[in-house]
Amino acid sequence: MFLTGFFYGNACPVYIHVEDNLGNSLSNITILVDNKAIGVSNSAGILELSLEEGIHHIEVLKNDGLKTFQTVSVVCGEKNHFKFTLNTSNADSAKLSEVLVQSKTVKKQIEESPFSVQVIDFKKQYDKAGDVGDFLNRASGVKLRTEGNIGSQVQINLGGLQGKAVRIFKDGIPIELFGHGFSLGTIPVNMLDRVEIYKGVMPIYLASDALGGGVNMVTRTSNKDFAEVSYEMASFNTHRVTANLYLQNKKNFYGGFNGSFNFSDNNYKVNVPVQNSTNEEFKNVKRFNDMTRSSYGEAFVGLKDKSWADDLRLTLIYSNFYKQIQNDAQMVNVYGEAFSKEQNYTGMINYRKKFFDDKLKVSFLTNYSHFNTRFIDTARVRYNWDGEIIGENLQPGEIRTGNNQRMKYNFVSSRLNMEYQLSDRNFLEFSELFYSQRRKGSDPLGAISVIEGVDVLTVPATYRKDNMALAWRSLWLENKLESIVAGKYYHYNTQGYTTDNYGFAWKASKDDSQFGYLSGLKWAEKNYLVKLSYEYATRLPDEFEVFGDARMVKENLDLDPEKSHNLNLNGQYTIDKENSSLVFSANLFYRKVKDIIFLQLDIPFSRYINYESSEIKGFEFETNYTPVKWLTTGFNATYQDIRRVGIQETTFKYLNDSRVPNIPFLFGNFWANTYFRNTFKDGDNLNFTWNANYTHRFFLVAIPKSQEPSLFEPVKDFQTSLTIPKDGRLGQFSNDIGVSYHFADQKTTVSAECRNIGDVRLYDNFNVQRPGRSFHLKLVYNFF
Amino acid sequence: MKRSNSLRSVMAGIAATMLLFSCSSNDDNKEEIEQPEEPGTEQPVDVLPKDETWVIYNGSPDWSGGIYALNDNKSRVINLSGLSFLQLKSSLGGRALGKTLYKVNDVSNTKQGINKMGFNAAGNIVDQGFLPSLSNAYESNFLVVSETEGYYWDKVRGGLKLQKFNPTTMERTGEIDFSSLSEGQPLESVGQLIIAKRDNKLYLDLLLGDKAAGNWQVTPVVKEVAIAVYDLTTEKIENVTKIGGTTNLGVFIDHILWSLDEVTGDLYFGTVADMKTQPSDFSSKILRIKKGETTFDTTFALDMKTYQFPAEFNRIFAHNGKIYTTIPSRAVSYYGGGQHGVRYRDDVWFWNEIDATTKKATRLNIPPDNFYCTQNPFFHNGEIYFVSNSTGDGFSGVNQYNPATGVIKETFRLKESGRLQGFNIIKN
Repeated sequence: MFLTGFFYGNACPVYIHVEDNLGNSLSNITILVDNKAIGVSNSAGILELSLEEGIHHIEVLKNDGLKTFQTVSVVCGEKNHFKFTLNTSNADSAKLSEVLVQSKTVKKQIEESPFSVQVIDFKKQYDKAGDVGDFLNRASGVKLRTEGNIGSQVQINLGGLQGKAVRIFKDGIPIELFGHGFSLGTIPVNMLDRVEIYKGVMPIYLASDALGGGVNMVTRTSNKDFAEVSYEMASFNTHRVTANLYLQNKKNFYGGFNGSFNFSDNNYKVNVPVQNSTNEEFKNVKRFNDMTRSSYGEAFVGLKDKSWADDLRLTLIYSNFYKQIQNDAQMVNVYGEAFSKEQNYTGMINYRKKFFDDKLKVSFLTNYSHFNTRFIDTARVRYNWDGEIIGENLQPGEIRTGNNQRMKYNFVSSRLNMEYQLSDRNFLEFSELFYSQRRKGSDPLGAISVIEGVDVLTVPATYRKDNMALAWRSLWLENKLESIVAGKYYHYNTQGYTTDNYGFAWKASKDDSQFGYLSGLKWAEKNYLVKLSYEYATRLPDEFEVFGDARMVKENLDLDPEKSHNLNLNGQYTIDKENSSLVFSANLFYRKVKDIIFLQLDIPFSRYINYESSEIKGFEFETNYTPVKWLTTGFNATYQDIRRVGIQETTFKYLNDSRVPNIPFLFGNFWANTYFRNTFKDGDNLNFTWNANYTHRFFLVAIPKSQEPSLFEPVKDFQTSLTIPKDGRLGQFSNDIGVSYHFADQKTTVSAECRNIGDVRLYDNFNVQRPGRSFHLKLVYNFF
Repeated sequence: MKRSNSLRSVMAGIAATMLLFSCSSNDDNKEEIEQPEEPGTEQPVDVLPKDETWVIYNGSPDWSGGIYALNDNKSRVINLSGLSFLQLKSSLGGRALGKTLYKVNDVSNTKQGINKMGFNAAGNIVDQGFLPSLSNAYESNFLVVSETEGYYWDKVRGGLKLQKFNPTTMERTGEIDFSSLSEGQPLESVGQLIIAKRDNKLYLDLLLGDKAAGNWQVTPVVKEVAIAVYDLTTEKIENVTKIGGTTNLGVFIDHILWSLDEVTGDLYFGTVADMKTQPSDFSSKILRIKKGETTFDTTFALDMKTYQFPAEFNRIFAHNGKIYTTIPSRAVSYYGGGQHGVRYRDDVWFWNEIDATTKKATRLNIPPDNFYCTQNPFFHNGEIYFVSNSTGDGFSGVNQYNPATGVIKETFRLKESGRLQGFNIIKN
């Protein structure tokens, strides 16, 4: 079941056969899908068409008015053959019969797995502005944190864990292999079919060393010809373009292209200190060195439904990314010339095949990526927030001591997924991810070994890891109960350069392995769903944590993997009526993390050590209510109590049970969507949306629990400005509104949005201010 | 008989010792046990000073923490839990002038410059102002002389210019130009790490050189150290004094390496030399400019090699012809342990008193320090106070030494309250 999400796309062929009550095929029968005429049946009574995955209303209509209809659920990968029978013996009978075909969408299938998982389906979001991150941020239990606007770094918090604890994939491959041109901060929704969010427990098909879960972004694809372009224009001189093309011939040879382009000056206003001749004053100024330009394109060709392959695809990817760097994490220090850029070239082969009467499903994907990156900070001048030069002829480097870094990275990654059906109700699943990275470069302004004077970046550094998972999945009690148990194995090896003992510089290596395991149970009845899942998760230290940057961060060859016990209890209850529905879902989660890799500060060098342990107890709740067909509304709320535990050093025991700082712990979303059909013309669609987000105050520095203010009271026992927000507000509340209009031709959509309509000052990471009010206009056009 | 008596004495001693230990097996509660008073055996009463406020800077593993003010609630064992504080991202020791505190950088430790703090009506420490540096880098040294006189270094405004500011209003008030000392080197500074004042003259480190890629210290073009002396009365550069055999005066901006002996009037400076290569022919030294002089005393130098090597002097306090500093018990290296594997943050830094005349070092009976706090010892009411953090002794606290009597007393220790990263005494 879990492999399904990996194997299939979002639109698929549908075969409609119309016959009379005697079994004779009927030709020239008009077929309407979702009230729109699609075509007529041929002489064999058949019409072949492609429909997007999901539920559709199909009606067949004879010229004399005789008709019938079915509400069907189209599932890609299944045989979507639907037979319609017109009772011609009773010509005056136009009685309607309805058959509900009980088949599940991919979203529903994944969400009904034993894991704590949420799927965001983008099929109906392609008219919306913004990027994937905006949508992820509205999911329960998910908090995205950025350092600005388009192109800035994004980290995702899942179940209280964030940063490297959460792995992000694109179609099962670690996202870092696709470059910054494809990231949570740059990818418009039009590029994706859906996003799967796994909280705490990773499915087998995404076997990886994820400590706190992961996110899999599934690329948009199709089984029918289609071509779509979109263009978004927004505040801060922002322009975004996407193009998606898919063509397939009768011999099942197909090809296509998915591409996106982003440009933004990111010159929104911020309130910052500007120094004058005597002191400083806070002013609202426009950012002036934050321009971002990124492009991403993937072209693919493939063959389907051959005897030797269900699908064989070759994909070539190019992406580039250019980003100016405006400020530090506290938004105090301003940089006027620093920038980074990157080019990425990737080749990827994907093979899928079912063997032994479809009992064995095999998917293999391998890719090679080459990166060229540059990080340039060589300015000899200094700027203030007004963009004026305030110092000249200084040492190179606005940020630190200067960088003229040029790096070349080579990545190889392969994933093998297999599922074998032992019996009707028993399945074996296996997944392996191999990942290899080699880095070499130079930085004339960077770290140099003490005696030899070697630029340490010129010495190659390698990092390899191998993650495997083997699972047994079973269905019980008429498939109401599903269980899964699995074992995981993690291994990594890294080689790099160390300058630790001064006077010597040598290559060192580190090799380590770790076992993990998981289990899950799901009980599904008609209206409710209960899930319990557990994983003993591991995150391997990466090359940077082991070897540092040979500059400010030194190596630590004794680093151990981070480990966590992750437990989830999920429940969902649905009240479904003819024209309304109400869904409640809740998730209790618990994490016990040890050996957290912590950057131990020191002068002149810091290093990563296994230091902290923490305990996380959390709760998510979400309600979706559809009182009438044209309105959906709901909210979600997440509380995560993340606390340091197990401090052994007497000196620091006062921080036992203190909240882990700099992580939002109470946040939520509210939304309402309406749609009105046939407003101006038959077949058109007018939508209004409202989204609101609340993030409660959180602290940037640890506070002893005994002095922690309660949730809704101001700070009383001490004075601090190290909070977000720091202006006395208890939290940040922002609202977005939008309207979109789908023209009756079903090809064109125009939408307009206003984000942060209250122009509220928003922060995500430390004190970096996010954009104020912004306006977005987007056009989507489907050629066919 | 004699042997028998000795045996009895030993046995009695063992029994008494066992009894003693059985009564006080829980060391943590030692201070809570009341000692019975017997007639004629009264212990001297340990009276805590009432007319002063103790300012304590504590820190967590990432150096964040708070500044606490203890007045009536002083004790010999201090638990800071529940006390009011000013929260800081980097709680490294500040400097006190009257009832005002100053420290490098703002409370978030991001804004480079000088932060001013004081007391509110309740006697708690509060933020009171900030003077920004134009520089983004951790390099703005400062000196507060009085409520209206202060100096700081701001590389962006000019390496060979010393900035003036008003410590009350925290406003920059001007600058002193030393551009005439330029030799056209890539990195030139005056007062980056040493800004001292004596007899209305400023003593400023003059450093002319360059910084190799990856280095954090400037390498002087000539292997020597230099002090520029500026006469504030005549507003002229009076002298530039130089001395060889060592390099690099000072080390970090929030930890000054100079001290004025208020008794003798001599001015002492610490050099750390090249901490990366630790050369033996240019080792770390303590130098002197005698009272009334503007040139280095070429007859005087304390050489770290005499006491330990490789190592550096990293604290300095001078009082009545004695230098108080730390000398490591083993060779140490700032760069990750160096060839000998001993890191700076081990329990190796022992407090010593060095006689400036004989150069003899005497180790003081004070727990060693392992954190390299940004705080020098200081003199108050006839005693010199030393900050120590020692993992082996489980000690984070202060000891006070009476240089007249040689008596050492534990001023206080923190109990489960973090690392002690600074300490000031403010007269009420």
